[in-house]
Amino acid sequence: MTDLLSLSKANVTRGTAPILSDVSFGARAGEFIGVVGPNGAGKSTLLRALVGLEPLAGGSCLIENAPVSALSPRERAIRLSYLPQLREVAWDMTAEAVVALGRFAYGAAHRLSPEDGAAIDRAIAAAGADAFRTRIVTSLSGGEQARIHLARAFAGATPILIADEPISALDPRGQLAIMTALKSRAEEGGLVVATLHELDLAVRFCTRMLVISEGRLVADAAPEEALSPATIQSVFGVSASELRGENGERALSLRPLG
Amino acid sequence: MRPANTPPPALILIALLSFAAVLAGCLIGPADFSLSQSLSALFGGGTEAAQIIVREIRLPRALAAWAAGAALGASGAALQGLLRNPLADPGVLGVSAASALGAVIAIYFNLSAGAAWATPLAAILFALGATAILYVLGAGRVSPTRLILIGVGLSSLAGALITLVMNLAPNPFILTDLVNWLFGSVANRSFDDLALTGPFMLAGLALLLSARSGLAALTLGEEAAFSLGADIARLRAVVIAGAALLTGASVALAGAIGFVGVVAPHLARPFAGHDPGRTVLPAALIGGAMLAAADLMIRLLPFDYELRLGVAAALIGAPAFIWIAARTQRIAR
Repeated sequence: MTDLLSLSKANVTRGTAPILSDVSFGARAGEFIGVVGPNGAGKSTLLRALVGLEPLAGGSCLIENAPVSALSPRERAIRLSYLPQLREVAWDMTAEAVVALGRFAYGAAHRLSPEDGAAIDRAIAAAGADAFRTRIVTSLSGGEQARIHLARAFAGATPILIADEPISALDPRGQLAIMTALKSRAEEGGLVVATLHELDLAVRFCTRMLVISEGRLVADAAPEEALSPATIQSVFGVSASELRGENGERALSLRPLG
Repeated sequence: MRPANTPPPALILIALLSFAAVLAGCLIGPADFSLSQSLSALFGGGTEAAQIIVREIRLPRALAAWAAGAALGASGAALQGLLRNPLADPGVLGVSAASALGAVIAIYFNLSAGAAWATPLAAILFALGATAILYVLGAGRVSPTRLILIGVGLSSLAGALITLVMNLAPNPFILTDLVNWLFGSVANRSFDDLALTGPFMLAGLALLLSARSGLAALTLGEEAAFSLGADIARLRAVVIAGAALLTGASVALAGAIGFVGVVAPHLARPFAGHDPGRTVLPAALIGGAMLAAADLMIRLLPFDYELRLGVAAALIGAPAFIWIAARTQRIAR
């Protein structure tokens, strides 16, 4: 089985400062990959490079073996959807009109085929957003808005979903709901790559973890292995100890060093 | 229930309203004709004098007011969608002022004596120049707010240069011409004027209508729109060129008229489900109706000197602009 998405020796620079240095990994269908690392480590830049928003100073980014920069906007959009960290809605549109924008690459956003309609319905259901689909999106709570944006990203039914901090600033129920929806997406055969700050949730839901520190990929492994207390201490500069819940799930207790 | 695919009845209603405003402009006026006399004259009946007044004075004037308003409404809607800011319009971005500068220079050098299309062409070229400057300075990753500030700067610069041209005016007649023209008016417009500017307006409108779905995608911000498959660089170029053609042609036809480009899209938005792509056409229809109705009102006011259309538009539009600005909670970054 070939990689759906791969970076090899990817470098991104801002001016002369390196933001990403020689990052390489390949990702396959069915994986839910968590990208973790301190603020400013280059996680968002990594995702933006995967989407084609960040020109590479060196190396390559391939989607289904084609360089992302060589794909037309539409070819790229039917393979990959992206949820940026800044989830903006400039106008007071209804939630389902926002989700419908996820079908942009399949034709004009204003002419929806029955297939588009069905995809929108499925996406809204998968994101758990049925209850407020007809409401004005800017009037929704943060958690509800996050579900609508997720539904928008699902609506394209793309094999790849890239999400930048999809659960930041959400309450625990919202975080669990979105992590569950992303995990289901991967289990149904999608590839999900998401940056996360919630290490416990990342370990519990993801199938694989990339740890980024100062623009370098310092760990790429199964979640518990990648996020060992030793790695956490060296990357995040905090001391970590492991606790186990009744079902054997791991929880981390973090303390300042020293 | 899903976002509608068919044109909503509201759009048909707005189109009828727009048509009614132009029709009223043909039927009502200071000349002492009854409505039925005017209507019959419009379709070639009645006396020759009535026909001339209705078909060659009132009709082109009403159409000119309508076209100028429609062009500004469509440009405003598209620029607001592009910049994700409900206060953007050709006036705010300095495109109108630059276009007026072009026309003022053409009038100053009396270029229209050589060729009738010199003034419209100068207005359109300067509008394109101003949007090109906006495009070049904003083509990187400049935020919409900063683009608007650049527009404010452009507007002041064009205003200063217009004043300079007026200072240099060699005789009071040219100065009067300039001032009258700058106030904005559609008095004494003919079908020739419409024929000169119409093609530019149609081309601009076609460009903006082709950008509708891209504008809808931009609702989610440029990066999300990019990931949805929108060609952002092309979208910017199309919207800016379309808005420049429409604004330049509108300024050439009716002078500098402000605020229609802010107010018309604001009124159109609820009928379009607040989708910036779907707002373009209703904003054009509403903008047209607004200026056609405003011009009719001006003609009926019992003043010795006719109020200028641009002045009337500002008297109504500026308070509306302030009200919209005060109510806007989220301004796109």
